[in-house]
Amino acid sequence: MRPTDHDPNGWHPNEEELVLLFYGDADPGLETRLSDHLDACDTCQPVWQEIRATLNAVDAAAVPEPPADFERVIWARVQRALDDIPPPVPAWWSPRLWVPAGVLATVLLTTFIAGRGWPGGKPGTPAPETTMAGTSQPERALLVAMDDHLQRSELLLVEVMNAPPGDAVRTGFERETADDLLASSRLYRQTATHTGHEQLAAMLEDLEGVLVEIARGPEDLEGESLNALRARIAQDDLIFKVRVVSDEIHERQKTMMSSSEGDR
Amino acid sequence: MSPDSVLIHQMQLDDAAAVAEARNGNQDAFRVLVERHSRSLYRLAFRMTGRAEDAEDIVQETFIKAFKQLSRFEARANVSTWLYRIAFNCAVDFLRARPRREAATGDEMLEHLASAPEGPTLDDLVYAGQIGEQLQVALGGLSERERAAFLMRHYHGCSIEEIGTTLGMKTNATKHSIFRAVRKMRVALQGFARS
Repeated sequence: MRPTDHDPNGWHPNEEELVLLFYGDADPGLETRLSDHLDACDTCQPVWQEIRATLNAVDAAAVPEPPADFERVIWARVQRALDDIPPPVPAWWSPRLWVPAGVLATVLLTTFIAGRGWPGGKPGTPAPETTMAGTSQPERALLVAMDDHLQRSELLLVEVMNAPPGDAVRTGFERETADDLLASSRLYRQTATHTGHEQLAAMLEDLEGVLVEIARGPEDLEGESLNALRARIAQDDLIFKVRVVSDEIHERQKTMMSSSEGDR
Repeated sequence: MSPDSVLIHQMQLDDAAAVAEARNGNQDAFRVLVERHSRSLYRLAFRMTGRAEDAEDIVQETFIKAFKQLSRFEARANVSTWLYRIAFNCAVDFLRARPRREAATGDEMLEHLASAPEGPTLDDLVYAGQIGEQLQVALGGLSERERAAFLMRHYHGCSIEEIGTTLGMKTNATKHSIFRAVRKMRVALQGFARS
């Protein structure tokens, strides 16, 4: 509220308070005061009317309704895609519980890397004993875990990159997520290093650095800290690289599924 | 149970129960969520992108991502808020990937609108559907986050807190996103609202 000399109450509501009033977000005391003021103030009434007219005009623009069978069409499209996705992991198999197991992580990476041949792997890296035809449910579940890990990482990075300029990013949720991802990320990186897949290890190292910054960073990420973090993500092409590995995993999952169908 | 009674059972599932059953691999339960939330997500996606076919793709992508993330859904959370969040992120990714030439920048649009002569009457605009087009232009002048916050508050009746949770912003930042959006909408729709 800004004080004025000519208003009998000494103030006029600002635009933000009128927007709060329009949406019913003003607290009761302010709402009463605003209503009383608008009834009496010839200066504010036109502004209020103009805000209402604008927002009512927005209401007048209806979105074209999709066809009557829209839900059925969407479901048909979604269902086709779901056929390529492994069933949801049961709760007791939550990645949080078992991903930190180093041995499983090694199995996963060895299986994944050997199956797809991540560029940069050392020649002569021993092939895993597992064959395509012999893929097992645990392996599939491990791929789901890696996929889950990368998707969560990607979402986190996208959220940081999407924050509008000038806004602080509340990092409570992001810090918790980053912290949660760190342990498994380290294991994946160490395994990639041990198996000689430098490029994958380098990507995971870059990701780990960003996760550490978010997890250990300030609660409100803004200004230079936010810009520096974004620059780091952009400079490393981190989102792109994470997506590439995700795509590789999806391909691997598809191959495994079609192989196991072929065995039946 | 007969097929009919199975169908009735599925339709009666509330969102949380549908998520729980879908987590156990029940695709019919997931279908309940798709059928229940498709239209509201379509409206959000349409207003974000301004194109029916893009909105449909975003709705589809939203549900595919939601299915993949079922294990991460917190039982205490609101399903529609969770879906909005996924849809918002899909739409933002989509807009970022869309070639720049397909949409004028916000500043260009605002300059163009501010210098435009007074438009026809509001009634004419409404009936001609032009206000819809004008609105899409105006929405194009907002940042992705302002647009999402404004749309969720104005059309979907989401509270400031819900929007903040969905978009990962504090209450004040959420309010200011909406304030900025309204300010830009006032400039963009100036001629039309006055009529």
